[in-house]
Amino acid sequence: MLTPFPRVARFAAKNFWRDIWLSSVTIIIFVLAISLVGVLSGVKVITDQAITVLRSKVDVVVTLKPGTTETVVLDLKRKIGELPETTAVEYVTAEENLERFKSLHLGDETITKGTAALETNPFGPSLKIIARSLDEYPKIAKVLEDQTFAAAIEEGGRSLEANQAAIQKLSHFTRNVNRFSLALTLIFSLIAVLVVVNTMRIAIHTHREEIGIMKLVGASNWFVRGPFLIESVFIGLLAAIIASLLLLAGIALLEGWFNSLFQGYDVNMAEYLRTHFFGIFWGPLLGALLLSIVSAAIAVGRYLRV
Amino acid sequence: MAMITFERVAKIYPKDVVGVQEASLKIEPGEFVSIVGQSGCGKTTMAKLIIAEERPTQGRVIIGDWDITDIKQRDIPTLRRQIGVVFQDFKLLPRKTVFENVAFALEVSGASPQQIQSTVPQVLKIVGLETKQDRFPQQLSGGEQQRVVIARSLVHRPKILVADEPTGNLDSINAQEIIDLLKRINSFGTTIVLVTHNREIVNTLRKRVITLDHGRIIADQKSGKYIL
Repeated sequence: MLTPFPRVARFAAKNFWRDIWLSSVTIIIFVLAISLVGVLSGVKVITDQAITVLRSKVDVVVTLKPGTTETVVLDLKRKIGELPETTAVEYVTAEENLERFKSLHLGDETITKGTAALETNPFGPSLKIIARSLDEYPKIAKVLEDQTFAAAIEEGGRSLEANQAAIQKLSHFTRNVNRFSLALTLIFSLIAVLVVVNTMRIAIHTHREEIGIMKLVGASNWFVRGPFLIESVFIGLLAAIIASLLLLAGIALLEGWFNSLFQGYDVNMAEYLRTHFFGIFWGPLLGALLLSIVSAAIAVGRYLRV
Repeated sequence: MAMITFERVAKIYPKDVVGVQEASLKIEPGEFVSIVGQSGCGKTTMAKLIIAEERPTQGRVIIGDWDITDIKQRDIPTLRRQIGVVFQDFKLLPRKTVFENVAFALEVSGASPQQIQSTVPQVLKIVGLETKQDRFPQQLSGGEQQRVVIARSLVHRPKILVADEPTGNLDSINAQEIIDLLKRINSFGTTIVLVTHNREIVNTLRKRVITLDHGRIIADQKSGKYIL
């Protein structure tokens, strides 16, 4: 005779309600663990997003010496453009560079007067290079070191190094955040497992009389164990729901801060976190549910002899 | 075919504590058997071996044609539904009514609500508690509580009823009522194994008596008396 699932679930709900204080403490620990891991996942997404934005904004501008012939510039543009690592190369003429300089310093009278007095264009042409990724720039740099072109490039006419150093710092910070997140996730997971195992142990101890009678009157093993396992599902689910609400509230609260952080960039971080909520936070949410069930299974296997 | 068979059964607990040794017996279907002896002689061990709460160290235990010597964990519920068990300490759930306590045995084994609604009143009628089905255990006398336990043990219509000191917590009048109830259940064809050290009850029963001493069967009388 199979015990119907709804009846086992009803027993689980009764147990959950009877041990509500014990269940609440377990849920709180779980909510804390999920929220913390969730926050760390969020931080990772934000830093990743920041790096992506920065990387997409980073380009290398190679400034060539004034008087460099168009043949040389176009040859260099072609060579760089042919590299698989290159996404785009923009040729900016010497005249355009001068115009950009003038418009940039439009309000500066001294500079305006100075540039007006110029008889020759002091600017050379330039190439604005965008690579597929920041790590590809060294390969592009090799072309620039080619003797054919090296002589035509202005001293210090490459803006790569400064940008790369800043992004490397940010990448390094992200890597450390990720490592720290992983360590904290493991620690909190272990704490959550221990808490659930202990909760189930106490629950089994509390219900030992009822369990004894169940066994005596021929309850199936599933009926004896099932309620504890289903109770762990309740705990995991409730904790996941509460933690989700807290994380959503946190995102709403920090919306202003996100906007100021990404000011000037086309990024709405709060909206991004909301629309990708389950994509970003599925790990801690599903993890909580699984950890809760696994912990209950450990406790039932260890402390509930059927 | 015998209902219960013990073949040279021994149960030795850790530190060489003897529960039962060299125990061989056959109990036929419909028999009423009393297992008697002084405290620690192995009576309860025999009851536990019958319901597979203990496994024999040696020998074989057979229920009907089912050798339960090495019974698998998953098969124990099936066995327990064929054997009713009554203990001295009642083992009732205090927060459930008489009806709910009896229904509990059916609920946990997957009976339908219809089955529960029809079976529980029937067994409560057999034990004479049909008018007290909404009471809680603490609102009943000891004898009545034991009758609830017997009712609960009958819901699966067991072939065997093992009663381990069912009168241990009762006065003589209530004790006699429980024995009368067991006799009545026996008259329906259920095999009764009564574990007791109550001399008076055993002597008035005039049924088969198996006497244990230090884990060994020292007497097996067809219509016996308490000889120790």
